[in-house]
Amino acid sequence: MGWLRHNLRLQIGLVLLAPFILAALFPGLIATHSPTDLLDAPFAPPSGDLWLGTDEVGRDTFSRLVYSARTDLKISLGATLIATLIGVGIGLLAGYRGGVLSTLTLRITDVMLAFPSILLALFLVAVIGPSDYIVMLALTILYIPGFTRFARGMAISLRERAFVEASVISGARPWYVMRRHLLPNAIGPLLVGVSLTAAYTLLAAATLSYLGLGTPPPAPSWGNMLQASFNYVFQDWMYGIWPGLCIVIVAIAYVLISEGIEVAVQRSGSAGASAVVDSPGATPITVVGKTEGAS
Amino acid sequence: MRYLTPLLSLVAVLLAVSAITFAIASALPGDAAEIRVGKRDDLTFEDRQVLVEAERKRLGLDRPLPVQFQIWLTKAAQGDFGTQEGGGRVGPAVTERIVPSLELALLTLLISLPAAALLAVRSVRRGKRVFSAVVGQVSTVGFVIPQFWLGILLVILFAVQLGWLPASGYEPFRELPMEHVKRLLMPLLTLVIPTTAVFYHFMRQSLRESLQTQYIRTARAKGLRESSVLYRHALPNALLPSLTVLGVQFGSLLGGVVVVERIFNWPGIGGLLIYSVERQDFNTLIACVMAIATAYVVMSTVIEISYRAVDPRIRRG
Repeated sequence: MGWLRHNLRLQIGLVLLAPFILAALFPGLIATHSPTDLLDAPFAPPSGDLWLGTDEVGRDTFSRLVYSARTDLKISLGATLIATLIGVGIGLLAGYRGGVLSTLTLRITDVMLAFPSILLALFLVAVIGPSDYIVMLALTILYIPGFTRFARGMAISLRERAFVEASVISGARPWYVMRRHLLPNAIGPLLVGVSLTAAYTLLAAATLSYLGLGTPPPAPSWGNMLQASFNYVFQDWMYGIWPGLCIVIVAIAYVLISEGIEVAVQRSGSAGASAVVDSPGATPITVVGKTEGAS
Repeated sequence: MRYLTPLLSLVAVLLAVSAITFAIASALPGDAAEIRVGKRDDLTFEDRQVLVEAERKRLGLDRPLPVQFQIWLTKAAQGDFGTQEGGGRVGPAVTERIVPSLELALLTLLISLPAAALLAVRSVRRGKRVFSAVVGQVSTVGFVIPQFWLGILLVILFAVQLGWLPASGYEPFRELPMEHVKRLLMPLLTLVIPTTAVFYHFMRQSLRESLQTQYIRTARAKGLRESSVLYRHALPNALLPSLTVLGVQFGSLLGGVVVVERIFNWPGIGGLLIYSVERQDFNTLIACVMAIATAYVVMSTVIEISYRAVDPRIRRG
């Protein structure tokens, strides 16, 4: 665990994230009530039983926050991981093979990045109907180009290195070279980008929910709780504070973890550190944005 | 010649965006003919189908998709984007709505860029470690805070608690300038805070890099004042990389505008876009997408061209 010692950012990030992971895994253990039962009058003030009071129809706000963690973390982590796998796969292949494939990939990601991202989500939701998985799919498609560009840049810069050439000359197949030489050297900056992207997908999912395109009610998510709260801001403004706070804490945790990994990579002085191009999440973009990687 | 390539790629990207939009939009359930015929409970299913088919033929929806696209493109090139569902021309409707959106987006850039540059220069100054640390932490929060939550917080503070500003709405500038500005302040602030945070991060990074260079050492060695070193020598060189970020950031700014318009009831392109998807208004939808994409692509082209003009190293490239 040497990588964790003297790495304050990573420590704080993990500590901040831990309760939310627990809530996502075991919401039943942490929540004090059901997230959908009507328990009291609307906007009941906080009490010993209902810690944060009730929402606009009388459901327990605290329990709804806890159950939202599952929805929001599932969408953000799921979309990030799938986008990473697909994006890195295509990018490494394109960068390593070069030629037409490489140019084509660059052009396609260009168009994808120019396409108003919110629209893609709008389309998918309009065609298939709102659900967690559609949001996840839309976000996955959004974040693939960033990872593709990053991996492509990485592969291009590593391709020329002596150890890769040596491996090729000794008769290694492309798949072996990619798996054995390119990927391990890209892993540090890649992890930095993955955790940053997790923050962006979380924000994007919340934004979609806010626009009414995310998790359909009555299932709770931080985004649709915020949307509901905004209609009652003059009755009970505290209601609008909590879900936003959860989103910000988790997003900051992801960012701190990302920065912590960056520090760890630089310290370990691995070959990857010298070949760092840019992480896929290098451009922090708020709201339904896209990560623009190395271009 | 050096300005020709970016302009060509501008046209190419716009063509691609319009083709994709056209393809996806045609996959939307129901089409214009279905909607125009309406529910018609007085007819049998077959009779209604006959009406729908006739309407499709009249609208040209029975033709193959590429042909439909070509027809649309020919008209669009002449500035004719068709009619909205329920009457009215699409072109003027979209133009009317894009102006308030661009007002927000451009004002945000106009405020965020200089603000970020000033903060960045101050935070790399010697003996400004506390300032740098504080601004650094605040700006981290600034770019992970969801814009709509920031908007809600501002409403809670300025409209609910203090009662200084109206919570939402819009007044045309020409008729009620003061009221317009009052309603502009909160949406603008909601966009400016995260945008400034992003620019600040990039500028501080590139300022730090530019302070390591030989010409800064030379400038200091010949005894220039620190402010002159920073503003005359370091800043212009640090601004160049920020230009590329500006292009990408403008795209996400347009996305942010859609959200902010929703919070503050600002009558921009975002509302029209969401409305046109809900009503399956194909003509308006594709025109909205094209308007947003055009704004984005024009902006990045202007940036690319100015990049070439500003940086002598790639001017000949």
